[in-house]
Amino acid sequence: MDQNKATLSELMAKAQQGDGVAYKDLLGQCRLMLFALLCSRLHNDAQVEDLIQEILISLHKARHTYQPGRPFQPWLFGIANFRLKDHFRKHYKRLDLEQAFATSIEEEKHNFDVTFWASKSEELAEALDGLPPKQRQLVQLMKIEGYTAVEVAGQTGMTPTAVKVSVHRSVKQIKQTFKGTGENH
Amino acid sequence: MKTTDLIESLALQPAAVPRSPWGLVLVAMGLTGLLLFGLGSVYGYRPELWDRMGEPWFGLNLGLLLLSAMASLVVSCLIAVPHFSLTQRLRLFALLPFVLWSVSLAVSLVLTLATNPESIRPEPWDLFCVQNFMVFLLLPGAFFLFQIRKLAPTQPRWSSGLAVLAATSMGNFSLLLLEQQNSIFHQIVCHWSPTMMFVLLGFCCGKKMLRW
Repeated sequence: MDQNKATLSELMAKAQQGDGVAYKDLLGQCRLMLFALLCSRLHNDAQVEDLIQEILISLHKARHTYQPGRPFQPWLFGIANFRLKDHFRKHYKRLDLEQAFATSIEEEKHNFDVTFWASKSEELAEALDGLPPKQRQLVQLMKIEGYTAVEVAGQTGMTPTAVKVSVHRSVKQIKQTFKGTGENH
Repeated sequence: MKTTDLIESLALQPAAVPRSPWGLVLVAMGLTGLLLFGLGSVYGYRPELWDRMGEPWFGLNLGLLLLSAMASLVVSCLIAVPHFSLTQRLRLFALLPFVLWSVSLAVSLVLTLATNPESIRPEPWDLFCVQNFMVFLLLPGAFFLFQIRKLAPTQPRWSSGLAVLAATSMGNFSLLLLEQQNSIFHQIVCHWSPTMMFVLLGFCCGKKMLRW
């Protein structure tokens, strides 16, 4: 074990002097050590591999802070633990957000009134049917299928301004229809 | 990207020259000393400085502040290097500057009130303290933080808080030398409270300021 430590320190010292082969060898050995460390803490292979890469990049960024002659492993594990804590912090933050999102979806599902929205949908379909075919096509393309005014103009041979005016008038008419049905009810 | 490819690409990059945290400590101390000397030359030291030096609490206060500043600078640089981040002894040592600073505060408070109870009354003051604090925070403070960031800190909150304590302690030290102000009330409001506030701010923003 002591021999191993000395070897790592020597490799790092050589790497600091510009020995690329020693540095590559060192990074390879660090990868194995990090794999052993992270496998005991994380249970996802992809996460382990991602974190190993992140730690190796951090090690590379901090390589000038290594003091030759000092033990290498405390230095490496200092960086590794720092990145591991960072990973867990991000992971749990994301997990909290995902749980909050899932809860809000569940709440929305519970509060969703199927009968109300089905009747509204039918009313909207009736109001659309009440429009002249050309206007109905424009509303369908712009408001339901999501095309832009320029794209709709290209498809229908109208100018973009004419498309916008026509759609605006149709929406106004639909709103009035809804208002009318609302007052009748 | 595969890890083996990453290792290949990292190994191809040029070597980095090792940097010692002690070098940074020495440079920072030299720069702070120069700044103190420069401020003294521009504003002039307080006229009764030599008389005050004879007072035991004043000398003790100066000494403790200087020790606190030096200890916080040394510990903030040492704790920033990944080598030392895991050692329990250094973690305990990180409390030393705060202890020194608190003792300096207590000594100053108790001895001033015991020898001169009148000093509790506020005296008129100007914005010199604020200017002085800002000079120390913006020049040595920012320099410490910038240099500590290059040391790859693995305890960023502690490193940042201690670096700010070093800068503000030097600010307090210089104020004792430059400002002719004997009110302990003034020291509490204008010297110690901003120090605590800035150190807390340093702790809170440490992770963002020292991201690497």
